[in-house]
Amino acid sequence: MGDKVLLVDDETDFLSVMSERLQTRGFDVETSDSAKNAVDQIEETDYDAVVLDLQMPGMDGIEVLKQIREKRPELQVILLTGHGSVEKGVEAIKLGAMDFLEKPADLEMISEKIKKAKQKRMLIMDKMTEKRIVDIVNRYGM
Amino acid sequence: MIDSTGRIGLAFFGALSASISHEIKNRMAIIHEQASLLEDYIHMAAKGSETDPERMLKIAGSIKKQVGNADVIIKNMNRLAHSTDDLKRTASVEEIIDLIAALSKRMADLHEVKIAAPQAKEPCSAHTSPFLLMNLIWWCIKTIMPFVQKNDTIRLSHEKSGDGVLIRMTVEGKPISEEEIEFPEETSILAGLLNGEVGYSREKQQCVISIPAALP
Repeated sequence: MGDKVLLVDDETDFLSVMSERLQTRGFDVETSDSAKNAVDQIEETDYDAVVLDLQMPGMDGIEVLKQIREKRPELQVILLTGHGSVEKGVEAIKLGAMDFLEKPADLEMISEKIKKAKQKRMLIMDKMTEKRIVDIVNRYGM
Repeated sequence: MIDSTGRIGLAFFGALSASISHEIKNRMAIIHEQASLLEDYIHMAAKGSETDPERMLKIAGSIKKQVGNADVIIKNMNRLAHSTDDLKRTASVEEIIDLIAALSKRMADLHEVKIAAPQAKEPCSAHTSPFLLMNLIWWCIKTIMPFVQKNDTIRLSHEKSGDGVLIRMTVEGKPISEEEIEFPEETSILAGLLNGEVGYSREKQQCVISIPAALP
């Protein structure tokens, strides 16, 4: 099975065409057209990466990013935005987003970033597992 | 040094330009992806995959739809830009309201609020500054928007009243208390420039702008 990605954008036409293109490249894609639903989906499903629109009704991408970092710190987020300025991108990176791309973005670049996101997530998860094992060993003096 | 009127006008024009350019970029992103999807299909066909003409036509139709959407956004931007052509002129109040409602839609969408500007029973015109009037309506919408509940509606309407025109922004849904809303100084400055008044009626859940039918 391909890398599992959640695409989050309030533009349903964008979601439908982007998911079709990613699927033809072997990605396992799920979509969400609302920030709130995306947060719920992230809690229920293990994704390798999230591609997130920065500006959405109800809850903006920065707020979604904060919630993802809280609920799934290992999950890598790639922000996509229609903003021309980089200020929001800098803020997002400071908050822990893996990368920030301006729309329209090249699909090959997005694909590459998703693959890197998966690798980064696996490394973080390995470190988390290692830390848990060390904690157990230290706690029980094994 | 920019005076307060210039500052208010720039803030309005800047906010709307940012919103419009964001909308256009969104449309362009979709068109870009749809055109790229067509390319994907063509490459697949070149490698021997069977093509589905119906699917191709559907994608082409979607591209046309997005171009149409972008065209509406650009037309509205053009109308906004031309609202500064004359300091004052005789203009249809209905057209001004329609335009500012359309230009405020993105702000409303982000707040999950609806904006409605139904056709007036009795359309009227005013000899006024279309740019300043749009600016004032926008500031009023912006001021009340954070207090409007999700999925509620701000309905814009207008009517003749004596020698002037009343423009109403009615909140349809959970009432907003008068105390909650504090109109910024921009609204009183703009109302003053238009020889008009602006206020909020809790009883009617309305923000009301009154302007004279003709500026001297």
